[in-house]
Amino acid sequence: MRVVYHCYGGSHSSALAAAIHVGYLDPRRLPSRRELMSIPYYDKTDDNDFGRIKLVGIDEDGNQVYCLGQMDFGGMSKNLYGLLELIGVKDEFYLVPTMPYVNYLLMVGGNLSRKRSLPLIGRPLIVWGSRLAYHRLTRLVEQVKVNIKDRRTGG
Amino acid sequence: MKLLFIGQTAIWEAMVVAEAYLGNPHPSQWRLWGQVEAEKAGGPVYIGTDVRGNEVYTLGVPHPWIAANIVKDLQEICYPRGDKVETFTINVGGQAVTRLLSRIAAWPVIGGAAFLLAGYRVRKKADRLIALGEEIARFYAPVEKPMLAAKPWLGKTET
Repeated sequence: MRVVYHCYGGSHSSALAAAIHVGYLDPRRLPSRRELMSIPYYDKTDDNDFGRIKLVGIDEDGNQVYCLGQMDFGGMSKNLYGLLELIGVKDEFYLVPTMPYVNYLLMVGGNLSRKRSLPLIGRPLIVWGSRLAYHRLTRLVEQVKVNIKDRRTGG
Repeated sequence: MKLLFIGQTAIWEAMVVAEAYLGNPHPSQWRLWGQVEAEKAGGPVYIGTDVRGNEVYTLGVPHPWIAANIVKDLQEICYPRGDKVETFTINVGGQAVTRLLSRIAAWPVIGGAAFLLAGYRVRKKADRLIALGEEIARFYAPVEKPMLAAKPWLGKTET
């Protein structure tokens, strides 16, 4: 199974969720700034990365975990599933939108850091926002793992 | 192979290019012209099959180049499984306005006017869109024509 966490930019909420999924971060405690900044693709993408599906790692069950930034893709999951169906690989993928977990700090910080090229101002906001959203994202990841197992066993 | 024409709407500009590609340049042949319902479900919209048996689809998204990137990456990740999909992004000005009008077309009262305006705007640039579709067809699905010589050979031989 291939799990794709997707959000607007692909560099904050989706990268963070993917990192939690593959075990780069301890889900029981809040990550430090240093730990956050060491996550692959975390606050490191640019405009050329939109639409790029980036492998973050492989989880304990052998699932490949990716993150994707797709801007406003217009009915995100519906269009993505439509493309998967067109290619004929829909059953191999599990898509997880992380936009509902993005708070205002992540939005403003992400915009300042990535779009306005002001990481000095944006990064502290991103770290703060990521820590605020962290426990909700860990619960999302736990649910995703359960859903994948259910899907495998046909439950 | 599948061909995917990606514009900002699936049922206006991209659809005209796809129909022209299929050899249907006349508006009366455009089955999905302005069919807002066809796009509402999300995902690619099936338009037809070309002379080589390639299925032709359109997709409407705010940023067509992002959809093209996604298709490319999905194919790379899944290689060699999955169907081959060739993407064509439609870069014609005014698509964002058409997309907005297409959304408004679903509203009550002013929806009808928005629909007519969207149609009018697309018809105005239809020639360009049709030329683009025909240009793509020349490369991807040339119609097989019998070889004709400029002068018929009369079977005469030099003596």
